[in-house]
Amino acid sequence: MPDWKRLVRDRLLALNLPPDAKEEVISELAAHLEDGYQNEIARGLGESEASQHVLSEVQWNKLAREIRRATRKEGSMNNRTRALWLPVIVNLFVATILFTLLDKLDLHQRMIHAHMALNHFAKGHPAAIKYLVPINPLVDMIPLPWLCTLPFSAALASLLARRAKAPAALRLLAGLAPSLVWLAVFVAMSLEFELDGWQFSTGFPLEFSYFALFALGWIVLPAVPLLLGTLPFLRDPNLSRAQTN
Amino acid sequence: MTRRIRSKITRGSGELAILSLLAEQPVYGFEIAKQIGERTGGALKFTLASLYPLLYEMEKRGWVEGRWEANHAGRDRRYYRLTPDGRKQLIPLRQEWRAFFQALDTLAGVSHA
Repeated sequence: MPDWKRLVRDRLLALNLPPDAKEEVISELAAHLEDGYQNEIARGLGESEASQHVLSEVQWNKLAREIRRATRKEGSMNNRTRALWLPVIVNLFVATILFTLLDKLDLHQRMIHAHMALNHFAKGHPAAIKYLVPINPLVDMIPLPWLCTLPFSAALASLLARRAKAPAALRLLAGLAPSLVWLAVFVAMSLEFELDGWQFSTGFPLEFSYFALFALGWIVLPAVPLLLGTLPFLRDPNLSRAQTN
Repeated sequence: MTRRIRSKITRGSGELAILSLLAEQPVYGFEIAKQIGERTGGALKFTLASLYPLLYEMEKRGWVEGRWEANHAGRDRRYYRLTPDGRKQLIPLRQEWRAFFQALDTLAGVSHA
């Protein structure tokens, strides 16, 4: 019986793979040829005819080229980068650009001024003041115009993730990225306060309420429009297309 | 039909055939080619140059994983098994091909040919 490994190794000299991977490919192809050879022998061919028949069916150049293509790392980006990190970066970038743009347009400041004007006019109306005062810190801290733009950056991120064939969980992560980044900042800040021996008993109401407002304004509330933008891209397009057919 | 479209159809049908076979049990390369050839009456035939690159690509995507084990004759063979990701791919792939054949049938009456 021919030395199949040697035969394959000699014919795949051009196969440019790491030594371990190449050896494994050679072993596997040699095993395949050996099985083909045994098959031909069982069908009644002689040893020489059987090995000639098996080898005549292999296009070595095409085989080396296709294996190289199949095992090659995909350009400069691997699957995880395309499916998660790129959409996350795009989401953060677009959300930051939109935040900066809206800040330049002073939309949030204008909203605060409008709210202050409302407060001013409501002075003589205790019933109106009763509803306005509790939301004063929220209006100050929560950039409502920016929140309204977040579905777009989330939609873009989850669309990119879906095009990279990311599973639904990764598409959700990519869509919620800005909130998750702020969550990480919030956790880091909490730990920092803890390490510095911050006591809830000292100045509890002020620090705690600002902490809670921070979490609400930058984590919880942004998560809602981000989720809205992400939801349409959580479904698998193949599945939904097939179900409509 | 352009060469590119033909290549995509061949590759797609190959993926579905391999995933469907591996959904039943782990199989090694030679047996994959042999069983698919037999079950399709020779309509789907894998060569060395079409089978292994496809298997390696599917392995890279995480749809299948290969592991060396001894076969019934005591020879070491690289058995491929479906991963949970591969199993998930099988459902939309089947639906995609069903839709494709239905569309082709509507257009060209393939099933009555």
